[in-house]
Amino acid sequence: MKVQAKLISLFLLLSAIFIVGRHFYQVFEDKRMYSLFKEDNGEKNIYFDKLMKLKGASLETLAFDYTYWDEMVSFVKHNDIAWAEKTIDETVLKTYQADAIWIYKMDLSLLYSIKSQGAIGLKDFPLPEGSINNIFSKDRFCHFFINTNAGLMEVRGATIHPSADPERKTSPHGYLFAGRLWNKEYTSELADLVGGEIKISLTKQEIPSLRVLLGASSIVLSRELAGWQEKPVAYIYATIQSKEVEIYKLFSRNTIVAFFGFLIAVLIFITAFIATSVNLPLGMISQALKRENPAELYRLEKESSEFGDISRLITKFFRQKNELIKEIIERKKVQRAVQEYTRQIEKANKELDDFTYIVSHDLKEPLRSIDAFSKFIQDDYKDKLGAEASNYIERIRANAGRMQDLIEDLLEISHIERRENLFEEVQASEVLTEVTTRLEYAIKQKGVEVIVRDKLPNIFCDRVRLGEVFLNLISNAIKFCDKPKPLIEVGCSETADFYEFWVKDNGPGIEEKYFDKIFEIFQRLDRREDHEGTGAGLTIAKKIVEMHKGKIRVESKIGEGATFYFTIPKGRQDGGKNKIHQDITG
Amino acid sequence: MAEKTRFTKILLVEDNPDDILIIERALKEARVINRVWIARDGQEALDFLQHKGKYEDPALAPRPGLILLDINLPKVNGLDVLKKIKEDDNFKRIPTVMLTVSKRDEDIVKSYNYGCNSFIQKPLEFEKFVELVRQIGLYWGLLNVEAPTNAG
Repeated sequence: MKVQAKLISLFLLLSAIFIVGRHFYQVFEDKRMYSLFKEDNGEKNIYFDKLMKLKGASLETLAFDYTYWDEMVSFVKHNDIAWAEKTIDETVLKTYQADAIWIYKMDLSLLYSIKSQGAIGLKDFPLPEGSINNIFSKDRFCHFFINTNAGLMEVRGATIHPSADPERKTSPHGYLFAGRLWNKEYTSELADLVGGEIKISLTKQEIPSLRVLLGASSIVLSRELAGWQEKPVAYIYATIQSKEVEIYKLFSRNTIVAFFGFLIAVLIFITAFIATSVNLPLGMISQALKRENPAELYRLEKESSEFGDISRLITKFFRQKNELIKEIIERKKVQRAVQEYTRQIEKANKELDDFTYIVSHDLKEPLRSIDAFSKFIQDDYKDKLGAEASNYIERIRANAGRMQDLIEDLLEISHIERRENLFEEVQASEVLTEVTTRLEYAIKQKGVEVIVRDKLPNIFCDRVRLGEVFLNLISNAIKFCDKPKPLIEVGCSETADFYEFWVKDNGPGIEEKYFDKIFEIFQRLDRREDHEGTGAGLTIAKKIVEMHKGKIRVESKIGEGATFYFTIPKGRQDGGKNKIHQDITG
Repeated sequence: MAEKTRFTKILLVEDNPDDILIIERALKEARVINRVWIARDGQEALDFLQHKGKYEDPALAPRPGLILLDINLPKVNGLDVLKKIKEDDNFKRIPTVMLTVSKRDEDIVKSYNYGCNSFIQKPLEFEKFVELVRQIGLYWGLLNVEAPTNAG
């Protein structure tokens, strides 16, 4: 997943957490608000009841006070209408906020009635005939609502008793009803007191649930308005705005908006910060790496941040990479050149191989014939040949022999580096013994004394080749010896890394200017008259020693003999791993 | 038995007329009393053994007791001749001596791999040649016991 995607995911995750948090906070707030609303609702209910009672108190007082009065009893008894008109006038109605008063005698005949200005259209007392007895059958007071042609009316009634009977135990003397119309004026007064809207309805209306009401922050209160038969004849509904809830709501909403707004702002800021300080440089680095173009990072490189470090490293890496590629290309070129060169050398070697075979076979064949037929002439025509002719034939044969030797040496040199003999642990003394045995005839013939001076070590070498080195050095010494008592000494000294063998003779010695030349091929060919020549023996010895990663040299003074030294490194020279035992053995 | 082996028949496979002369003379001087048949190239040697071509008549080409084989031969190379001889059930028990000027490792290794009985380099000096031929005749003609001709 890319960093950008991760950042987006992180942002989404945090957003989700915020949203969920906000949701739970909202639920919590709603609960609190609901309980607050409920509480407010309860308070408003109590308040409403109190208000209704207070508002209805004057009417109740009127009904109570005027029926507990001796003058009223007298009035009912004596039908003193004049008293009534004087005493129970419009002023009374106004005082008690009543709209009508009706006074009945015990025979249920209407004795007196009065209506307020506002109740002009009101007809007679709307209570059905005979219902009064029912109303007061249980109680001395009544309170009910009744629908009139002038509208809904609240009615309070009471039985009339003399003041001597405060408990109203005696038979009543008449009945008084006081009514109040719940017209618009009255309901608006109520509404003002309640601090909301008042609605009167003749039919029952559905009140929405508290939760729905909470949504509008309004409390709806309802009361049944009972008729004289105790059944509701109308309903009053009060709709009051809950200021507390409204304020709380506003506060809560503002808090949430402010808090989460802040959180989101922080989130956006963090994301933007990460995007610019991490994602942007990362994108640049990624692009630069993809396009393999570190030049795109030049701005980042100046920064001291980790991205600056990375950019500098990338630039460095690319520079090194380019250098490396250049180097590889160069090396490949060289390698190809070397391969081509090697191929040419191999070809040349092959040609040389073929050449040496031709030399060995085709040059030697005629030589043998020359030798053989010279011999046949010698044998078959001995008598007919003079001494001189015999001598010539001898010379022919001798030269054929020398030519044969030269060819053999040539072959040996050309093959020396290509023949792969196994390197093995070899007792140098044993090899030397083999060589002296091979040369036994020549040693005896020339009366040479061969002395081994030191204990010769075990060395790791090509056994056959080492033998050839000794053979060439010793046979050379024998060949050139010129003293009456020829002496050849062999020895060995040791350093940390190699053994140095030496072969010393007491022969004629070698001029210093020839110290290097004698190891070059056929050096003695141009001095044929001196001796029969060394041929390639020293060259062969040098090649073998060098094959063993050793060195060969000569020290000599004219007339005092010569000493040949050659070194063989200790341990394996065939690239092997194990060092051999370097015990010096006899 | 000993009487019989002295007259071992030798097949000399050699293209160089000089060498033929030299070897014949060397045999004579070495007093190796054998009869020598000569094949001048590899094919002729094979024909001789298998009674083909001009050797159709078995009387002209008796089974040899020893083969002296040069390597550098016209038509069929000496090494190939050796290989064919040693692969053939009829001839593989005939002692075959490589007699050549070659000293090449490759030739030596191949010769032994193909089953030659001996690898000898022709010496240059005639005296040595005589000595060598004498020893070959002595060893292969006198000391060595031939396998029975009809052996399975």
